Amino acid sequence: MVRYYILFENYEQGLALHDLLDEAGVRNRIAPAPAAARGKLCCGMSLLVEEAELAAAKACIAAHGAVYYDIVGMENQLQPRRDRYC
Amino acid sequence: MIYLDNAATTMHKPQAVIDAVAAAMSTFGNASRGAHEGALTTSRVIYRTRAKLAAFFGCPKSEQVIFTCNATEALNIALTGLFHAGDHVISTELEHNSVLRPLYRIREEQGVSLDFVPADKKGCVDYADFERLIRPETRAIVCTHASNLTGNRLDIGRIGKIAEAHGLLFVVDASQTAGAARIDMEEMKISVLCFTGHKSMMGPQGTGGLCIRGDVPIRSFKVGGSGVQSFLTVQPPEYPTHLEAGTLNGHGIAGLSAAVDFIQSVGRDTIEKKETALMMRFYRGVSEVPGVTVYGDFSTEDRSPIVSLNMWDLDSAMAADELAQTYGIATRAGAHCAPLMHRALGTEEQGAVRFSFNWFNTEEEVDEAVSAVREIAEWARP
Repeated sequence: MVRYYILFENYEQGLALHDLLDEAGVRNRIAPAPAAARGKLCCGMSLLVEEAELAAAKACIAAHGAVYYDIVGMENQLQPRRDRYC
Repeated sequence: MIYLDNAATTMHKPQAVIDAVAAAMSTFGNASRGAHEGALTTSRVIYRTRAKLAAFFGCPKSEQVIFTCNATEALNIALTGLFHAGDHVISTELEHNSVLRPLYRIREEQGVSLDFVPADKKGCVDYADFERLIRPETRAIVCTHASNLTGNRLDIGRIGKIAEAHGLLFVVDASQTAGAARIDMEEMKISVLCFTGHKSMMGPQGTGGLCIRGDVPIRSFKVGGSGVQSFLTVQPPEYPTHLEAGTLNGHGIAGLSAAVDFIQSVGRDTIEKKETALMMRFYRGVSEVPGVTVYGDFSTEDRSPIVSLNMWDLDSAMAADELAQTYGIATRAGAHCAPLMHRALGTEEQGAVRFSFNWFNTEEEVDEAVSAVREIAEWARP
């Protein structure tokens, strides 16, 4: 399943959009920016949104002129139903 | 101890500040490093503190609030990062060495020329001198909001208008006023505001910062870890990252955040009125004492809560020592890192004894200090 990472140039930009998305009721969570999303950003925070929320997230960004670096879609590399030995 | 050295640092802090620092010490990860809860807790506090400070100082963009370890570091960042060879900067004789030494350094190392607006025997300036000293290559006016020696305040709104009218940057050292005096960067046309967290803000030592209004590029003062854009070979260009390298003082910033909350809950105006009343009570008490010379302009109460004085020709260090040893009163003697101001006042040799007041001082403490000055002045009579 593809998940979308909103990338930023710094934490201030990310936390600002996190607040905006929360206020707009767009489900998102802070996650480490994946190393595979190279460019000049290979560490720091990102906002993770599911595909179903992507359009709402983009609308929120546009409505507020929020600053971000990029949005990248990535396949979840972990098997969510993997055996956790529990 | 009766603590009257608040212009150096406020020793008594709001309990909420102490609690915030203590809580942070056991819960904070490293801000901007990772996305786990420990790191995010710190990132959120720092992020919200930037927003609080931006609102508090009228800085339009919270990401342009840069954290430093004190006002001196903020001033070093601003003054070494703003100018180029051939630029001319106007400052004043009221300045602390935290302004003067960076200015002298950029004069030596960057080829920047300087002029200083003179102060009179009361430590006052003539505002026409700012305009008089402007020349084609003038790039900025750099000045304190209030003298750390006399407490005299400069009308930074008036100076800001002069700067704007001539297209100059306006850099303000708010070390003695941030937290207690009203500051609005937008209204006062301040380009860069440098502040400390541990004086009138009543926050922890090791906190401070600079607020940048508008598009003012400042070269990086230090470079290094930022938690973002790790493969860039230079410091990332965006504020605040551009001017913040290395781990921030998250614990201190948590305390600073609580300090802003405290000031706003009490009311900045309320704090300023009480501090002014204590200062004027002390001033009225000591100015009548034979042999006491008070420095500064007390024709207005629009000043910072500082009273500097001498008693006859008594060495200021001996006076301060007597105040501490016999009366348990903490003051500050000597030159106060303000060499040009002492020269203007004619106190280079004797120095001065500085009494400075804060929200947590009381009228009873002020009255004890007046009595102590009266007794010492009597003994020191030639």
